[in-house]
Amino acid sequence: MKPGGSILGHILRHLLLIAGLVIMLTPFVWMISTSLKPPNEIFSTKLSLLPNNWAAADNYGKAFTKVPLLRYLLNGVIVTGGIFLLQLVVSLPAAYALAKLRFKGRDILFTMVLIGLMIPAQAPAIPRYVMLYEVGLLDSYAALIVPFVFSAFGIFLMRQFFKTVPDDLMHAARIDGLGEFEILWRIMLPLAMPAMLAFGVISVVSHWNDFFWPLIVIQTGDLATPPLGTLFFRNEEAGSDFGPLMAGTVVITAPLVLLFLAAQRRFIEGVTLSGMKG
Amino acid sequence: MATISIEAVRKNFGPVEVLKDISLEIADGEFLTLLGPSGCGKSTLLRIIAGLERNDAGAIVIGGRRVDDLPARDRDIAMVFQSYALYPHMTVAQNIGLPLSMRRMNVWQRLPWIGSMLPGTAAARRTIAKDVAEAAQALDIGPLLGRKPGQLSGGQKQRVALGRAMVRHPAAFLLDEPLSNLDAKLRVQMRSELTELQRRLGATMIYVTHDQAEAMTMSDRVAVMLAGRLEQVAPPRRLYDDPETLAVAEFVGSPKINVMPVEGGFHAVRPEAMQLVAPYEAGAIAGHVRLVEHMGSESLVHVEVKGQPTPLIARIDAHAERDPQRGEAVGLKPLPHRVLKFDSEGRRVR
Amino acid sequence: MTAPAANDATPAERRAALALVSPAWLAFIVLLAGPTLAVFVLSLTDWQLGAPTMNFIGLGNYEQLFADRVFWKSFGNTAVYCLVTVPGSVFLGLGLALLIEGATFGRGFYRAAYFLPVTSTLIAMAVVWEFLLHPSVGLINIVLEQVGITGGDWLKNPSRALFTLAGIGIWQSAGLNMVLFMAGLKSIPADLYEAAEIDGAASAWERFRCVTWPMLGPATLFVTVVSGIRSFQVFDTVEVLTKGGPNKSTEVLLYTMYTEAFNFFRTGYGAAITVVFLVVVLALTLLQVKAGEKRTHYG
Repeated sequence: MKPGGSILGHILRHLLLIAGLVIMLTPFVWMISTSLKPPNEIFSTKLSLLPNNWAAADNYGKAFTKVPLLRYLLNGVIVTGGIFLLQLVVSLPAAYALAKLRFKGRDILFTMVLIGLMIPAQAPAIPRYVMLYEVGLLDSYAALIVPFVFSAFGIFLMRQFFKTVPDDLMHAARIDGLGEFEILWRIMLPLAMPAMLAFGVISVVSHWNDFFWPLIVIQTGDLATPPLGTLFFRNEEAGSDFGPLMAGTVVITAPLVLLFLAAQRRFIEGVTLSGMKG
Repeated sequence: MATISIEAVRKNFGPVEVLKDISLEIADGEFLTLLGPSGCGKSTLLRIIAGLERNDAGAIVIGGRRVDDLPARDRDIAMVFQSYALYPHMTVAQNIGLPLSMRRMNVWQRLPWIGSMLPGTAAARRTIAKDVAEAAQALDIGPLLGRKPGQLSGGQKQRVALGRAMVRHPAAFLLDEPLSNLDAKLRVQMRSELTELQRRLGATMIYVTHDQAEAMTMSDRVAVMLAGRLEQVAPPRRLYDDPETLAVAEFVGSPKINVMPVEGGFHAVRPEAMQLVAPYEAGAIAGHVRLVEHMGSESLVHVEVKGQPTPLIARIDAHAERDPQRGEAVGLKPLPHRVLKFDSEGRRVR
Repeated sequence: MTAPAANDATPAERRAALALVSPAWLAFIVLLAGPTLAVFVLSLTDWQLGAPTMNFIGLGNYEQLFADRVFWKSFGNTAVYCLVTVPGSVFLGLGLALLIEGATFGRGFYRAAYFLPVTSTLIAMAVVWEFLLHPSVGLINIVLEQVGITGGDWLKNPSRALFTLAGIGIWQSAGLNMVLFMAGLKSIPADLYEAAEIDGAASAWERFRCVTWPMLGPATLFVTVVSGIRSFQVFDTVEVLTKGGPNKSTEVLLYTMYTEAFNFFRTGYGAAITVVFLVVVLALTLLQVKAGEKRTHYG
């Protein structure tokens, strides 16, 4: 697009954008504002952004003591980290082989990956649940991590990347004495860092925010991921003590939002990529 | 260093015959060039020798050892690629040192962190660093050892690629159009440097190119490949003066050799063996000058001759003779001992 | 090409390839292909989780499903949700992309700000929305009160709850559509605009009509389908805010599947709902693939 237009047009454009922004950001602003207010101000119909009496310490203190918020965040880190790490272990070798090696069944496997891209995460939920139930792994970290170890998107994305690496590099490595595993480990992996980061963003965001699966397999509060923990907190409060509840949601949303603000470009790139695949 | 024999090698890509029964002996320490137009199969042949591609039939023998079933790393050859194929994330020193560390250190010693704690790692690394420095010295790239390939010029990358190939003293070097990404001036300079390097190392080299000038100036022998077949293998001089087939005669030499159809075959005459004479002179081919190209020391005179689809070309000394004018009637007379005779199949008749 | 290519490979290469792909194959079969196929099989049984017996009842679950008013209600609600959310978030996304890309400054800021809802944890934001929508102390009703409108109950009013959820859906996904459109806009060559200007398309609107919209057409189709697939999977806000109520007015397909399969443990019946869900999503995905083909054709 070409920037242009009259001065009036410019002013109108920014007015529109700012008006929209107010609506889009109100939930965030009000969440933070409420998390700082004492109950009487929360329930007052007089609107103000900043509290008269600051109750931040009280609200955040309550939020951290009523439910194990830090534990939820830690669980989020363990689960998303575990999923991403295992996804890499499974995806990278397969993606390299699909992109660069000749073997029987290559086209079948790639077709399976493309089909896998189309299947929504909720579709295999029931049999996965039954499997975990049969092996007695419900309500565990394994239940949260293992079902997502196969990532069609991860394999697809990394394969597309490896396709762009010149064959000669691989040939040179073979002549230099590297086996296929070492080519992957010493040559491909370092080159694939940007693609891996993009995949990491997508994987971590989607599993940090995932609610459906943890809701199904987790009963124990100590194993709750951040979204599930939020629900536990909300249910505990029965929707009355809004200060600590909003403090809790601030804490739960903060990590991803901060991560996003810190690495915007990569974030948007990554999510655009995953949006492209649907 | 070693001899290499290629014995009746064939290769198909699907239904396409890329290599048709190729046999070739390369002597120890020889500089052999595979010359041919793109798509003639020369790069495929090189890749088969390297072990990057499998031959469908025939055998490759390096230093008396049949290597068809050996992976590339066990064939004791080194290769230099057209794109250089330097590892972009490694420094020049690491690039050159990689083939050594793969050979001199075991799997555990090569691991990050753990490797440095194992016995022998430090010593191995020291000798590798010494050899890398030596190779860098020989190629005059010592100051670049700490840089990454992205920070190097084309010529520097070329030297690093050479360094990576020579550092482990392989039985043979395979070079796949190594100079074609360089600019013209650097290419000429690297040509002589490469030949000198080859002489100094006494290395067996197989060099693939489509550039005649490279083939003619550098090689002990040139193997001309056309459409998956070896047309002729000979020293550059012989290839030019004494081609076995019309195809070779036409492929080698610029401007192209003059081919004239005669009863039962063809006569071919190099432009410099065409004398420009008066149109009425006995035995001369009469025609009209169509174009005169001044090359500095010489001129190329294109003469249109009746019955000849393309003009015949004579190369004349620009200073000794008067340039004919465009449209001028002239005669062309081949030097009798420089007329090459071919039968209707394009085979040489002596 | 594959078969001869595979024959070209050295035995070592083939062995290495098999070793490299076998974890992925194993994970694919055990974690994705197996379970997805099992859903189809389970949907033909009367099995309940933990029950000792399992009988094949053919299409019994489907007959029951298609005769069930709750299922049709749920299916209809999901469709309505999509029909509101998809146009809303697509047009909003397109408008934002055009406004922001046409701005001379502040583009990065706007982009990041509008994108924020996409990355924030939806469940947490749903709890915030619940508070904002609170009939008496919620910000929205307080603001409406001040301009003389009685807001009423947004989530407990059966004729309104689904649209409230759709509104949250639009809020959450507009930013994603915006960046997808931005990617589409970036791929329009700048000289097309110059050509249009020389050819007499003087106003911004003319240029949009002659250049941007035709060039963006395939991208719009694509974004629409992607939005449709996402909207069809609505679950989180329903579970947190309405639990399908009031009076099943926000009962959506995934929520029905969830309650049947994981609250009542009617595994076979839940599997049948999953199959319906999967079929619709796959149909939309095929549409997306078609849209994608068009896109590359234009691109």
